[in-house]
Amino acid sequence: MDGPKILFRIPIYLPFFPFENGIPVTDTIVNSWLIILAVFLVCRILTHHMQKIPMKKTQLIAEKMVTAIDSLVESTMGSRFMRYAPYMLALMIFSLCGSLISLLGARPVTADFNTTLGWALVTFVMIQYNNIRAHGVKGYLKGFVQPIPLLLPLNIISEAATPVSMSFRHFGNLAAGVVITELVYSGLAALSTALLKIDIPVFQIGIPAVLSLYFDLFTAVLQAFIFCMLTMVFISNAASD
Amino acid sequence: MLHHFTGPVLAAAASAEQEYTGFFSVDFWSLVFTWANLLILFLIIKHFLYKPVKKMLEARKNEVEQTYREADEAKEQALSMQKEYENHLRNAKEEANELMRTATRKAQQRGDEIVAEAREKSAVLLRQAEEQIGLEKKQAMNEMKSEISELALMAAEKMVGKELNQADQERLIEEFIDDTDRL
Repeated sequence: MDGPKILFRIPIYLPFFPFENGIPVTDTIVNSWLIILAVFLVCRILTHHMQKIPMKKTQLIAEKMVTAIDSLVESTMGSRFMRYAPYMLALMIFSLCGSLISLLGARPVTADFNTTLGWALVTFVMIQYNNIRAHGVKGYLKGFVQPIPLLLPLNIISEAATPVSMSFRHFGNLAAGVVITELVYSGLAALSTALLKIDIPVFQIGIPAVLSLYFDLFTAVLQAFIFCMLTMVFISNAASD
Repeated sequence: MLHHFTGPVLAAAASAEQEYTGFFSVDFWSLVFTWANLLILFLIIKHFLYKPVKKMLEARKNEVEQTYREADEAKEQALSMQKEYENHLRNAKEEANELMRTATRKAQQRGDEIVAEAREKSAVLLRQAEEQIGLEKKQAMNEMKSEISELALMAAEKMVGKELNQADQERLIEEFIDDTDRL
């Protein structure tokens, strides 16, 4: 099973990085750029000519999105974390679009471990930042030897496990979808050849769509929601306990 | 960097046509791109969706609040105006009543005055008339007396045929008058 394709390389050569061929750009990255472009255009369309008395459905959609993420952040993190609402919206949109792009036949952005790891590391940094902000450096460090100093290694592992588990969960769900879809496709092709003695994979019509409903739609929505919820819960927990 | 999942040999072989990164590998530049992309998307969402919509919602909220405030103010004003007008109306009614009362009282007073004056005047006139009548009666009596006396004198002269002296004359007159008084 191959990972993301390297579509091209940016011919920049840095002395300390082992890339003799320049900076590789994978299809994950290019798909992310396409998503960013699409999101930018959609944002411009949705917020185009907004009025105090909304006349257009696009404005209602934009308002619904903002108020929904606001209420989600407020109910999950509390009103003092409202400044995280735009980031959560961005993360959720990125995760959703990044997974759902598989419906267009592209490789899902979130089926690349580097994507989910990157996001999880951002969450990790936010957790540590909020912990230090709430308890001070001393209190933050003291948190690692509680309730007893013996638990220091476990505390460190549990802290480090957060980004690992988050990134593995998201990546695993989406990558599994990719793998299973590919397996199903090749299996169905083999089945068509074996049963019907022709080289046209007839069974590939229709059957994968049912699986795609679960692996693409359901998993994409669920994982986006889980990732954002966990980020919010961990951040607010770090600031409060 | 972790090894490619496919192994270095296979990857090198594939690089002739198509290069792949590992299915499950950590790639530095992919991470960098992921962070950059996340930042860019965050900024786009924040500046082109979140902030404009928030601004709009805020503006709408302010307008609604202002509308409500204005409505409240207008209502308050209307109520105070109503109260004021009611006050005015009551005052006007009271004033009118007062005016009526004063006018009635004045009219009454004036009427009483007129009647009293008339009564007084009529009393004066009556007294004057009575006095006049008394005076005229006396005068008429006196005139009558003198005429009668003259007449009596003339008749006596005629009867006696001579002139009476002064003393007789006086006496005769007295007698006559006494007689007439007795009449």
